[in-house]
Amino acid sequence: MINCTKCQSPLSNQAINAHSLVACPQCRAVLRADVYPALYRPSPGNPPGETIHMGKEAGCFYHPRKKATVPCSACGRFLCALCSIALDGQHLCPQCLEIGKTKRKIENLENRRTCYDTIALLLATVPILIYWVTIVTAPVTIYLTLRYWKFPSSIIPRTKVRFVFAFIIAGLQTVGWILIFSSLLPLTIS
Amino acid sequence: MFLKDAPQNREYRKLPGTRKGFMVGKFTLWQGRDHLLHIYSRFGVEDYKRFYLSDIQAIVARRTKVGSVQNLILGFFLCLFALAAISVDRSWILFHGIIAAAMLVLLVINLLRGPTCETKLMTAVQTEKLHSLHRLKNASRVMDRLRPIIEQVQGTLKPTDLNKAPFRRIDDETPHHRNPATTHKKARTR
Repeated sequence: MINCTKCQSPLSNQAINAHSLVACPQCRAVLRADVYPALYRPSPGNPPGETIHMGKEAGCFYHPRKKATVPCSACGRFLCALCSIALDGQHLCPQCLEIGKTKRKIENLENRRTCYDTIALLLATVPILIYWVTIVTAPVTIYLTLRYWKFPSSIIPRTKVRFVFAFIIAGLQTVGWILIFSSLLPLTIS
Repeated sequence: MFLKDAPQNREYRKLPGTRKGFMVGKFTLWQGRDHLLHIYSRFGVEDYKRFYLSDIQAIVARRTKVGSVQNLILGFFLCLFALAAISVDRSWILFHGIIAAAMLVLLVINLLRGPTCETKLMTAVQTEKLHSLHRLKNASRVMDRLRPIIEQVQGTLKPTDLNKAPFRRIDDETPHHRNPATTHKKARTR
């Protein structure tokens, strides 16, 4: 059973999984509550890891006295139930998990990414409003495009169209500035 | 070619609903193979939160009055500028008329988008507000779409099971998983 998100009073069984909008019996707030079996699943808790009773049994790499249950999918070290971390259908040891996170080898552990293609496009388009700023932003955009072309962008797969547009716009701005300066140069000389 | 970099077999599918933050930022929700991905993106930086289908305990959408208040405000300004366009000095008729027309367009868009809501997703250790699902129409559509997928993973909940479970309170957002936008605001004010 769960509560109404407005008045915090418990919702009746009729209001749960009605698959349509129902009114809270207390505050009359209109809501829809979809509840799933996970709500009724008891918390598994941490597996303690079995102690080795027989001398020939394989022990955990990190806890030699604990019985190994599974090898690490990345490094192959034997792991007890306590050390084995299940992720994407694999069993990893804490060290491989840490390496995967720091080196960005495990995509599902990433919680932030910088999308340089979006930054390049913003840098190419927004400064057009204050046109003289583009003398600085255009070369920076070209640099960003070339420097981060192969960098992973958003976690949602997307094309490099932002980089392409940013490069074209910044390229045109740069050419424009070159033309302006080249036309000014003979005037200053004379 | 570089424009064909996006893989054909898409890992993530966009779920209906987008919310743009004030001035900057955008919230979107994506459906992955075994999890939902909530993305908050701003200025080329993306923050990710994953909710595994096997962990989702409940999704609750509650209708809010925000949409109605927005309609009232827009309606008030529409009447105000429409009256001003009719009655006040004729030289300002174009200015007042344009603003009244803009208000009318915004009002119609807001009416078409339907009532607003607050959607919360609950797991065993967190309660998260799904910012992208702030329109009841989209929230219902997403909940209808997710129900069979989650049930495929967790199984179906029988109505008789509802009485068995202890009461679980849907709290406010878990402190460690707060909306990045509000977290940044708080950090700036310190």
